[in-house]
Amino acid sequence: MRLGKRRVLPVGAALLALATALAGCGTGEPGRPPSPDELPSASINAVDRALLADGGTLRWGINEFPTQWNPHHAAGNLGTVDTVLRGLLPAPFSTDSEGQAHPDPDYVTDVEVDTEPRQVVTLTLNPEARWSTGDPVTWRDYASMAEALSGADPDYQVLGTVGYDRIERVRAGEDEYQVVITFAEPFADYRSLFSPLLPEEYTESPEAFNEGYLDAIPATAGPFETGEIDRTAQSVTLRRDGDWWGDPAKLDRIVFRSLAPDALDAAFLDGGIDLYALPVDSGSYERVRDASDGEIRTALAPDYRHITLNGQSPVLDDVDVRHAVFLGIDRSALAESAFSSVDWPPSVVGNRFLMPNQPGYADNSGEWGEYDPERAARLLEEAGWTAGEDGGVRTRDGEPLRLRFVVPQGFAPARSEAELVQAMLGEIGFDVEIEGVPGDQLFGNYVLPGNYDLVAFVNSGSGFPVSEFLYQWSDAVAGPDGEPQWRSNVGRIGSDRIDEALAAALEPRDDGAAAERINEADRLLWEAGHTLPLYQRPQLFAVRGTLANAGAPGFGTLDYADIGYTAES
Amino acid sequence: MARFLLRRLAGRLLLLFVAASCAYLLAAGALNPRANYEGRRPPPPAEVVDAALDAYNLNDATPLAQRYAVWVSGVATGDFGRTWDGAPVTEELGRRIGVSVRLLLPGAVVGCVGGVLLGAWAGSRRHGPADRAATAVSFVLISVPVVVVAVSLQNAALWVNQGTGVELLRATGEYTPGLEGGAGAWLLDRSRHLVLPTLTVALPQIALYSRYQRNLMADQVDADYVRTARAKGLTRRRALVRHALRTALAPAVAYFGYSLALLLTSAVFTEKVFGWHGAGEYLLDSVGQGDVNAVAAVCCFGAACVIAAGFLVDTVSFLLDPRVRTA
Repeated sequence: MRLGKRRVLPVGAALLALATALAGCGTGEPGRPPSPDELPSASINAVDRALLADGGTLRWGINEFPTQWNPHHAAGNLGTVDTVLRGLLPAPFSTDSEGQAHPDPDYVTDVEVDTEPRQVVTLTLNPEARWSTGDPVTWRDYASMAEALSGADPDYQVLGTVGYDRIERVRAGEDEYQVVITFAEPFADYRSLFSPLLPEEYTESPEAFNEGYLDAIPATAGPFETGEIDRTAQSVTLRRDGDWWGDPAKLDRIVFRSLAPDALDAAFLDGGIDLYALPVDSGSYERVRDASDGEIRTALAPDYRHITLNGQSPVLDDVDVRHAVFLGIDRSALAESAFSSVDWPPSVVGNRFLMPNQPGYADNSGEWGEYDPERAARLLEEAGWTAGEDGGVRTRDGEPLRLRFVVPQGFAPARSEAELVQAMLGEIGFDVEIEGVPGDQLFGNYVLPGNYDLVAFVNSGSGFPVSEFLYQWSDAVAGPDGEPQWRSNVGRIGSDRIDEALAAALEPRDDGAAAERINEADRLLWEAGHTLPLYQRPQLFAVRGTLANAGAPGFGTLDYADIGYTAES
Repeated sequence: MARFLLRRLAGRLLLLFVAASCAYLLAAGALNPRANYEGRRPPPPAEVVDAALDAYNLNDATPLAQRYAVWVSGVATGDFGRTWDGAPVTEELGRRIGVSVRLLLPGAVVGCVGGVLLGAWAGSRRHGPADRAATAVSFVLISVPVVVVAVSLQNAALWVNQGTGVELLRATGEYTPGLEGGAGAWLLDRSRHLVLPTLTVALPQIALYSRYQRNLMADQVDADYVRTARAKGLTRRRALVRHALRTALAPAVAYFGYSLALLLTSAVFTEKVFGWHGAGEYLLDSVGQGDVNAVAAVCCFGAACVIAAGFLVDTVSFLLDPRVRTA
């Protein structure tokens, strides 16, 4: 979940933005907006690695500098950790730009799945794969990691246990290079597990797990090895690993440099970095689009923005009122306004799990995805909310039809989005009150305890939509005190039917049937009026024009060994 | 004399302790490190979050008095605790102070010296065209926020770099990470990174000090002793530099001391724009992350600086002014 870069000092941010606007030199002609069917799933300047120059340094801009580099630790789940580790640690599967996972032959040469009587996944490992410590990558690494992340030992400060908690046991197959994973309950997204894999040494004890990767990346097994972590310059250097068993990395080094968002723009223009992700909601796009030796690579991001409705608030506990909200919001208008600065056409999504560029996507919105204020008004009328005089706020038993929309303070795009919603819902007789709350309290004090009516944020996916967000859609469970616990289902709407559909979607099937089950779960969520998906977001990267096999990968994972510069011609 | 200074020192240390405690209690009361976990989708299990917060004395479920006691006992041994994600604060703060000093020191020196010289020069040519021009430029610089100066300089440098095709000045960072080459390359690299931030720090200071110094100088230009000096055969320049400037400098030096403290607070913009990871940025980022221990540590450092400056002023005035001793 990202609410955009947290604005810690609104005054400072505004001053910076003002100064940038005042001092900025050169704005380009607005480009022709591409039509939605031209939008690529990935934009990485794909070039055959044989045609690339050998050597070179890639300086990669990042906007935070992590301390905890263990991606499975509760404090280590930063996008940056993932970006850096992808060149260093093994993962049995890699995803393509449509979110489909395939075994990565550098680590796993064969995958077999049995579903009867129980789900058993057998991975045959590449026997050449070695950790930087010299030890081979074996089933023991998998077994130890599955145990650590299962949640059985509370001393492991794990990020989450989804999937690992369904594993019954992990054992060796024919030899130590075969991993046999037996699931107690079926789990369709088994390809999302062990990504990335940690060595046994760092998962066998809670201390090693919690502290082993603190300010260090001690053991690796990838095309690159850890060079230097420099906390003064906030940079991490990766060097080509001479012991790598796959195709050698084209680049000599990748240097990750952490800078504040505005400094990233300047560093790109100045040649201090060659690649970085552009925030969608800032002036950066205008600032760097005309860089002489750079370009902006744009693809469909693996995420979407949505408005969550609190199904337990006094007004919204009625599904008809929730559907009236759905019908009363013009989602294309919100999308258009959000991307007015980056020439991005509105692409409204009708699915909470699959994005339009993924196989199996279907628009499940049915009758609830249209902008139909008249029908919304009828629904409200039938629910007993009668129109006020001269089209004012509706009332029922003297109570006004009032909603509180919480937005993080100091984050202008969220506020303008809320203002649009306020105007649209105002048309049909809602009184929407926008409440700015401190960004660090938004979830803790408002969204998680159910102290809100409407809130908008982003779900970012990775191609494993059901398991990753399972608890966002699952019904409440009874807590120790008997009170229902909603876990991450902040919409507080659930039913046995939805839970059954989610469970069915987690059973391994061939792709066609799997997508059908995912869509079935989504249809039920539309019917229940649970969370209104808005639009798929773009992913923008500013890239040095000569850089190949890097940029906006969409759902895909980049192969860092293939990143390089096109040869001088 | 020693007793007087010791008494003053004890008072200052007590003040430091009170300021530091206030900083910690305010930070611990207002900031919410738990939000770092709550905002995650999906969020980590609640027990894990509590365990992680407990490990670094950051759990808001623990009574504030108890957390304060743990914090004080740590600080007494020079340990400011850890950030929410496990980095030792004392070590990080030390590194950040180093960065800030390397960022600010050249700018402060250029600012003080440049300001005095410009002010003295303008003051000796009161109401001439040079004085008027200096006044106009100074007022523009004083009224423009530091961040605008920083971004404008940065954009100007980028424009020059692109126009000439020569990357003379670097717009971001303290040095090139992973630079290869000898001491010469290292020094050149540092210098190219230092020019823009130094100008950003120095220009507003030159403007401010030159105004102050100009008026001090202007008062001295027509003073009797300057006229006497000239009557005794000194050139105008010699009379002004040797006699007028020396007299006008004393009040300015006292002023520098106090202004330098202000410098630290404005440094955060310079650090953010030019991508130097200094103490100002640390405070700002830590507030954003609800990092109680880091915020308290930076505030303690700020308080220590102010109190140290005050003690220095005490000592100097004690040495210079006999009236203080009897007070």
